[in-house]
Amino acid sequence: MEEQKEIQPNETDLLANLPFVSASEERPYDFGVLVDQSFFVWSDRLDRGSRALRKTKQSIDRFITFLALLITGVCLALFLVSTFVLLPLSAWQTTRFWTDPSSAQLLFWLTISGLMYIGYRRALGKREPTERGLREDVSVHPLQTTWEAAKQMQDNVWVDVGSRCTQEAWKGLDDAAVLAERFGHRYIGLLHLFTGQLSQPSVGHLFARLGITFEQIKDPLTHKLAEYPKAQAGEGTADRVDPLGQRAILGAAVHAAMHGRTVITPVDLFVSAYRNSPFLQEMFYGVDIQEEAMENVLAWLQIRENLRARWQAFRKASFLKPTGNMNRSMTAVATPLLDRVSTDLTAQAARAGLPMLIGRETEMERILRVFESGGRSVVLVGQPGIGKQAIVDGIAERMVKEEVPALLKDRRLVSIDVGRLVAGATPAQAEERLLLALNEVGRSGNIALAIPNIDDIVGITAGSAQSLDLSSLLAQELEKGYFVLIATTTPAAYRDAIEGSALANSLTKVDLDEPNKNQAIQIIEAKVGKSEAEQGVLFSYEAVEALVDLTARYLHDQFLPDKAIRLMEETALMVKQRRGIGATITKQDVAQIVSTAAKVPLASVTQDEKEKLLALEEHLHARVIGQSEAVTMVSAALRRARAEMRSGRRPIANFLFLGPTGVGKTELSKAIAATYFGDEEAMVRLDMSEYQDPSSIHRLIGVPGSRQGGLFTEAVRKQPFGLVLLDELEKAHPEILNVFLQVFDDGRLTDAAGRTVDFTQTIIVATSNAGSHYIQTEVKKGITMDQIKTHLMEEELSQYYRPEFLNRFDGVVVFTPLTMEDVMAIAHLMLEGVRGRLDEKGIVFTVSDAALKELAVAGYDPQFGARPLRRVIQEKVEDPLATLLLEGKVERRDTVVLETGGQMRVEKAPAL
Amino acid sequence: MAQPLVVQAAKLFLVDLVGGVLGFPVWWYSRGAVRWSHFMWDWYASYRATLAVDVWVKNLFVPMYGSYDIAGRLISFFMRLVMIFLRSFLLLIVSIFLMIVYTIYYILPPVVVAALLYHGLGLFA
Repeated sequence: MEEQKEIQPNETDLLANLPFVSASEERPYDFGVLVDQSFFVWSDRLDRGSRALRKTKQSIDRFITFLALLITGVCLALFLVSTFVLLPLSAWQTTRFWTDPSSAQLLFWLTISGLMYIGYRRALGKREPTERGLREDVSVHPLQTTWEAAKQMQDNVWVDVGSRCTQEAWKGLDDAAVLAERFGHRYIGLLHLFTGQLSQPSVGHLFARLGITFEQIKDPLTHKLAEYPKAQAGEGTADRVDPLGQRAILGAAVHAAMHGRTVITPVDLFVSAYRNSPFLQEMFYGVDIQEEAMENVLAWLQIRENLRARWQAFRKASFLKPTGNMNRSMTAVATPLLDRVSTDLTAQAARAGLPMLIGRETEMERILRVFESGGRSVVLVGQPGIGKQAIVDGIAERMVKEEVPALLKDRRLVSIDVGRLVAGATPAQAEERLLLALNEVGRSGNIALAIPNIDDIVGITAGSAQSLDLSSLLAQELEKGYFVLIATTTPAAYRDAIEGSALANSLTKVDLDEPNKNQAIQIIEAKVGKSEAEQGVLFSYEAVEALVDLTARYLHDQFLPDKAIRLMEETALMVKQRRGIGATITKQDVAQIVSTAAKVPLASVTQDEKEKLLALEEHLHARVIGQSEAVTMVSAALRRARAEMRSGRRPIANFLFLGPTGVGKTELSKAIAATYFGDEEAMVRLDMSEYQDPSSIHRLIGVPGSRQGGLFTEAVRKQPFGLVLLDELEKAHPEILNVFLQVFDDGRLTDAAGRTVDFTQTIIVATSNAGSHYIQTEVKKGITMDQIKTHLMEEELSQYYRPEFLNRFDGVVVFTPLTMEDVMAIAHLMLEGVRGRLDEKGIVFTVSDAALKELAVAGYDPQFGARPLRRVIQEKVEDPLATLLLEGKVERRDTVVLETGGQMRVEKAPAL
Repeated sequence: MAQPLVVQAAKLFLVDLVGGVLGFPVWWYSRGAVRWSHFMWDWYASYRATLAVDVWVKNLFVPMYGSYDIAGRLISFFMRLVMIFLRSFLLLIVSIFLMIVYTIYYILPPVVVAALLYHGLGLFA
């Protein structure tokens, strides 16, 4: 992908500013461009007569070929009949049969000449794209833009552009001319050419990859086409190409040449037209195809073609690689024991059983350089799923083609299966097996060993204290230098098992990183073909991009490209099952799969959800009474997050809820969890009063060296999509607060085991009672909330939190003390709960207004907010109700009325 | 240069259709010959690679089947000599055969013409 990034802009500039020799009055139909040493010239005509003539020629051509086939066939048949059926065999023995002129022999020679002619016709007609697969640097000579100057180009090779166009491209060109003619336009323009190519299958394929249909661009295209000048009386209609169209055609030739192709396809014309027309770029932008997406889709087509060329070359090369134990120079010996515990990777590759390696050129070079500079063993260290095995397979592929350093030439790559090596054996036996196998490797001399997950053999010892570990044994043998080893392991295993051991000294470490986004996309693009063929579906580019993007963002404990590949297969299967064969996979399908895998709502905002988000305040107020400022602030933050307007590198939102106890801080947090994450329980709750001394940080993120995460980090790792509630934040030790600085800022935290825990999908809510006394007194005085908040931030809170800490919150929300009305509303809410429970028993429950007020008064405490209310309702409502129920005084269909003074009146339902 | 329709039609008839028939012999000895040479060379190269005489020559002093003792080395050396001789001989045979096939291409047209004339004229004479 890096390569494309360098060349593409170049290509864009080149095609959009192509200096060319345009058609003149003298030569109204010819135009050309000098590229390197070749003069690409167009000298065909597209008017009606010429089109008809071309068609006639094609028909005649086909007729001639048909005639040649027919005559040859007849001659052959007659010859066979006359020689083998009509003549007796004895006739052959006479000399006269061979020397005298005969009709049979005449027929024979006619057949031969016919076959020769057919061969000639076939060779002429053959214009298959020859892919060299290499991009070529093309230099354009800018000055010669007139035919006068073009005369000097006689020395150069003249390339006829028309004869290089494929049949498909010609059909598109003819369609363009027909279109211009139908509109009555004077010239065939760029847009005609563009539209003409749209009906060609290869461009249709491109559209599918882009994830759009022709219908989506039909209207703007038709409008724009209508703007071309009409032919006036006496002028020809659509018999010439206008300058922009000329540039588009020549650009297509240049584009093909740049990609090392000798034929011009509809895609070349499409690209050239796209590059030369701001309108087309704008039009595609309008259907959400950005410049970059177009580039990447075009690069994708190129990747597939290159891959095909590479595959063919590989098949050809693999013909010579022996697939047995014996190498070509016959120096090897049989390796019966090794064969039992290993797989021959080169043999597998030669039999086409290994996938091809995509990208990773730098890493491959580094590995091969180790061998070139005399090293005999490497260990590839990388996270699981980033493609270590793919690289080992890639080495096998190169060994088949013999494109490796001398040390690896004419060898086979044999992968030892540690499981099979130690299966059913005591450690001592395992050691013996390993030694015997290595002995075979040494004697055979044509083997390079591969040991995947080499850490597996560490720690297998024969038992007694001084005995050797299996890995030390391997290290010892490696020191002797009689075999070549390619091993793999993960960074953690390397650190734990290998670093510092004897093995580490013998192995050259090569670190492998997770592929970046572009590399991963490239890998998926190359792999997608298999899934597509198996399931009969088609991935659009944005789907592939989404696979990489979304898995990178939401599946943190796995690595690219493996996680994307696995979900790719799943998506293909799902789409086939739902929409049948031939469906195109879009970003939404991928989002759905990732959403299930990561338990995160990802699919784009649906209508239902849209309404819910817009009415978020109402939803929250259904649970939280009062506190409108808090509710508004939180709602706005959530809407921003769901519409993807936030930065992806921080938590969804960080809030600090301030206020006295019992005013709804925790309740609002629960309401957020229920509304945004769909579940009240989607919450990681930390009581910060438990973290009052600096050493409690270990409980938070784990004890260093323990290889385990902390309580907090583990909880978030298991539930990366949820609300993090930090209760009573002011009680935590200042050192602990520093930990959260990073979380608020980067959305990540590294635990003691070195794992990075992701917080970008969490909403962090810290609640604090700090300054609540101040809030209560000031509210009583009737000071406005803004003033209270300013004072709080500047004065009261600075005792507990440093300013940079406070600044990292998206919102500091001050909860106001509850008023009597609030408490009544809360009491009402709570009684609704009681009503609901009684309703299940078939009993109607009503509360008079006076009784409600009485409850509220009893349950309200300026110090504790609405907290005592729950207890009051328990005592005054739930307890008497329970007694009534147990005594059997209420039955189904009865009504219970709560009246002042805690009186419960039962209204019996009329008997049936 | 793009020409008027009449010229195009004339060109089509003369160059493309008539030329398509008359150009046959010219093509046979020019571009056709190049194609044929490529084809035959690839064929030869694949035989040469399969017989791998160069690999055997390079490993003349390397013992076969990992037998590094004196006897093994001696036997290997002579065995390799024999194999090199055999394989070279085989390659020679193949090369001669391919050479013959290659040459046939060039002499085929005159032979065909001669045979057609001989048999055609002879029949009607």
